[in-house]
Amino acid sequence: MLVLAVLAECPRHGYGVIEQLRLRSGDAFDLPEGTVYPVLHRLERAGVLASDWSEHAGRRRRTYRLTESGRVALTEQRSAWESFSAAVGSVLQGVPCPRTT
Amino acid sequence: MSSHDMIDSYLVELRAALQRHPHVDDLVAEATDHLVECTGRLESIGHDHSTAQALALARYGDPSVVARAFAKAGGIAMPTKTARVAGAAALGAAAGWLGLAVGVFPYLATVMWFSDGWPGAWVLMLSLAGASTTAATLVLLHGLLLRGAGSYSGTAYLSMGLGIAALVLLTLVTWAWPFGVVPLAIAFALAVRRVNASLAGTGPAEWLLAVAWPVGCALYLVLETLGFGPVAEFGNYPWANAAGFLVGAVLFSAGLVSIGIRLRHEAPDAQPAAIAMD
Repeated sequence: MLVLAVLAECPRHGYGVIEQLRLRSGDAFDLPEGTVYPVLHRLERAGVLASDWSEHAGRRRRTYRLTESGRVALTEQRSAWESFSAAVGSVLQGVPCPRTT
Repeated sequence: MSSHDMIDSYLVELRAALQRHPHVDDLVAEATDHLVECTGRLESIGHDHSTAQALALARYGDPSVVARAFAKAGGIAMPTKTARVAGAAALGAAAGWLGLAVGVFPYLATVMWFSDGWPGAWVLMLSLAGASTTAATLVLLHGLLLRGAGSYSGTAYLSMGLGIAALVLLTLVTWAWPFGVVPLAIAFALAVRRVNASLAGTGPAEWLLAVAWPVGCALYLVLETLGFGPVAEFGNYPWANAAGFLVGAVLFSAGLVSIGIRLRHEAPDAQPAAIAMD
């Protein structure tokens, strides 16, 4: 869901996706950046992402973008997460104990 | 050497770690773009060139870690020491199944069913032969499952569970082999599918591991229905039983030899730091 969310606004290359994940999470996701690429490739095989190759500064660059089914998947996953998050937040918020006397 | 000497060295290691991936050139090109871009960004915030490269590489991850991530995502087959041992076990298992089919089983099918009683020594020998042959077969199954993705998960546990069920059945009731070989066939169907999904490059011959025993069982049922050979005391047809086992075992052994030779000749130690999983 996070990768899809990062690609929702505009297409990005791999480094751009990872940089956005790091910036938006406040460096909370500290994982080897190279391990994000298998995720991108798997999402592309699943049809929620598509990619294109281009030339940039003399080297090959792969840019990822969200497909229509990716946008649908993101909407569904975002909705499910918001419901779950609201439920957990509600429980954690707590209420005062009723008086028993 | 280029201005990105540390990155260049890293990319050589990464390429070796991903050597079995069919799109290795694309993966390395993508890594190159990432590392050069990241180095540039780090230089722009004040790091010197060497430090920027070192930081970019540290963030990207060790080649073995990246290769493992691709393996778990279903993008690469990983030759392991286990896979090589599994290749040897497959060849041994093939000999075992053929031995059972050509020698022991037809004899027992004839002698046991047409005699007054089943000799205990022969029953024990059949159980031991069935157990050891199936156990060797499960070593191959384990190697295939690891080779498919580097670790167990989901269908791999199901596959091995079916394999163990087959081992128990083929040990305790070897004579009732169809009950044991059917779960074994399903276990291999799951395993071969898993290896194929990870682009490990299995060939059609490996599917024999999944279809051999169903073919043998089907032949047995057809011949039993047709009344093939003399009828035994329980009204069954032992030669039909033996013929089904023979055909199943020969086909299964062909699959075992095919995949056994392939796994046996892999070189798991070629890049031990990058791809060794066990």
